[in-house]
Amino acid sequence: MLRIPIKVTARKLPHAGGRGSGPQGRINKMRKLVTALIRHERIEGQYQWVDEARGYAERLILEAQRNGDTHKGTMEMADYWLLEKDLVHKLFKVLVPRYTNYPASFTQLWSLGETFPGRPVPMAVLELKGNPWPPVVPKERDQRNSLVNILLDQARKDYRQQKYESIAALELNKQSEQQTSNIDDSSASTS
Amino acid sequence: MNFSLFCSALVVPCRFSNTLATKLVERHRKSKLASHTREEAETKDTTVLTAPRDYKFVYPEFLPDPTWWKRDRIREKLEREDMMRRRSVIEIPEFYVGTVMAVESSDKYAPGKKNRFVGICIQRGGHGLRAGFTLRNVIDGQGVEVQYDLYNPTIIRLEVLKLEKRLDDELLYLRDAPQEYSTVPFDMEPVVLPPGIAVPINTMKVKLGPRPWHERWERQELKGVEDLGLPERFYKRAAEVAKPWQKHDLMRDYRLAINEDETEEIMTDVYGKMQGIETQQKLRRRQGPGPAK
Amino acid sequence: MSINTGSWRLRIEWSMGSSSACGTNLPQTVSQPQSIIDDIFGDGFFWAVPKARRSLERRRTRRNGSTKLEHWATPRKNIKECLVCGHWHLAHTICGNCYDKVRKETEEMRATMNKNDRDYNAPHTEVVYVYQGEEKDTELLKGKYVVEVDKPRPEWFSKFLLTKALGRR
Repeated sequence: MLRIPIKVTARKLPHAGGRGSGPQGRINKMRKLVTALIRHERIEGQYQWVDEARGYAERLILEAQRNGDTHKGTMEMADYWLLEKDLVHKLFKVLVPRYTNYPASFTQLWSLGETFPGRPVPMAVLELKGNPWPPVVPKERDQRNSLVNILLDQARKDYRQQKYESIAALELNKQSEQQTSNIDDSSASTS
Repeated sequence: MNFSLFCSALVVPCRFSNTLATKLVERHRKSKLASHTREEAETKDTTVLTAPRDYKFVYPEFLPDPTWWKRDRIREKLEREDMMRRRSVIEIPEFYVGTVMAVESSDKYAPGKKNRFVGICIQRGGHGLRAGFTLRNVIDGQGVEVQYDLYNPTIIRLEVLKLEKRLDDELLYLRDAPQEYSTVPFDMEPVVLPPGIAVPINTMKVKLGPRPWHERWERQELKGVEDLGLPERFYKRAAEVAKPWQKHDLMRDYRLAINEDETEEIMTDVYGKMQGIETQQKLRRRQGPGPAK
Repeated sequence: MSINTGSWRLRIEWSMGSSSACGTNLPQTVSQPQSIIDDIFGDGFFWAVPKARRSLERRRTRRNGSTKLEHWATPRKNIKECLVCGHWHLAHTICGNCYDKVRKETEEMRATMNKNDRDYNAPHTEVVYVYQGEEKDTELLKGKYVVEVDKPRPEWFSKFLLTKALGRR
């Protein structure tokens, strides 16, 4: 089962392989994208194309992982989808070991949005997880020492202190009341 | 009130009372709070049953319809249980397209209120309780096909006379072939296979009759048909309308079929239940045929 | 042309230029019994033409479309500020400025690798990039394809990508 959300129907992508290229052109474009992804581990392209190619890449890796390199059908698929044949070795020797016991999806898709000014086509970045490149989204900053956070921390502490004090005062009050009542009772019983 | 306890119940919105969102069911199924998962975790180590890998080809009707908007996990499960209940009453043997079968069904108007039909299975399909098959035979020089529902309660007995596979998934081209290819005698003796043997594949190639045909067979990739002997233009046109890109379309396959994980889950469930039913059937066979009910 | 007939069809009739289409010739058609259609159009024929006039409202809706205007007029609320560099980007996208930096660095790294291995013979092991001043004979890198980059590691590119970063608070 794929670990990524997919559309229930495939996109037709009529212009993916050039105008009028039809479904064969679409699948050729998908092959090119999958090959490029396996080679470079990070590619950029139109969101629609790249998102569609993502499913194919995931499925290919999953099949390779499940059936291994001795399965005829899987090898045929790898041969079809990887236009450059040195990548067949990479698929079985690098990517399959990399993703053994991997609970999540093998790829990651980042939306880049449209370039403005320019062609209003949404673009995206597709990458294989565990690649050697710098991360697309930078590491989150350590903001513990920012002024706002320090002030908030202090405010929280003060609030807690107040609360404790009020509770303690209440307890003290109760205890003193009980003591006085006990004294009254004892005096009544002795009399 | 403890919120976690509340979460463990499957809350069904009233608006969709007869269907359940797949997501919701999945979440409930995987939830550690649900009662069934707790039971599963306790009993998991004792019974580990995994179905053989070709089980889905033996009992293909247990796989639900993969059309996404027709799926309903609860209905599928209930249907599977109904099928099992039927299988515990009547013996539904393993069969494939190309197998010679005999079906005995109750018929109000037939003498003895029973009807028996023998023929080659030319088609098998459907999902769940709606699964069915088609038998073809030639009677008095006339080709006859009968469609049966596999789980129809009017069926009394299903008998496999000759268990074998053919090269194709459908043998509809027998309609356009000479009658000797689909003729089976009604008094055919059952062929017994030695135990433990794989299902034999009949590699016979059929020689079709002259055109006109029911379908354009040259446009389908048929393996069990001899050379059709058509003029060049037919093959040219067939090449034009062919869709070769569909063969390697991984996502198309994925969308048009139940995925492997789910298949395994269903088949494991079926396998576990079938074990009990098979032992029952063996016992019944040893006792001998009782009075027909 | 009568007042009621405001359709395009009639205009085309006039533009045919056949004399028999004019109303003045009507008595003649009565005297010479013919098919009315032949009488009106003669040798002419219809192109694909609109049957009815587009109303003012429809025309304006088509041109300026209420949805389009609404889209242009409403201020966008899905614009975010990048927490790292402070540039603006749409909410569902990543920061373009930060990604430019990453892209540039990636291309530089890619350029350092042997071209033959990079483009034609993909190595059969994992590829690891080692920056200037970093150890390359460690246990972790044994059996891996090591590429040396002739510059120090950028500050924002952490060496320990697997360790979890401290989150925002």
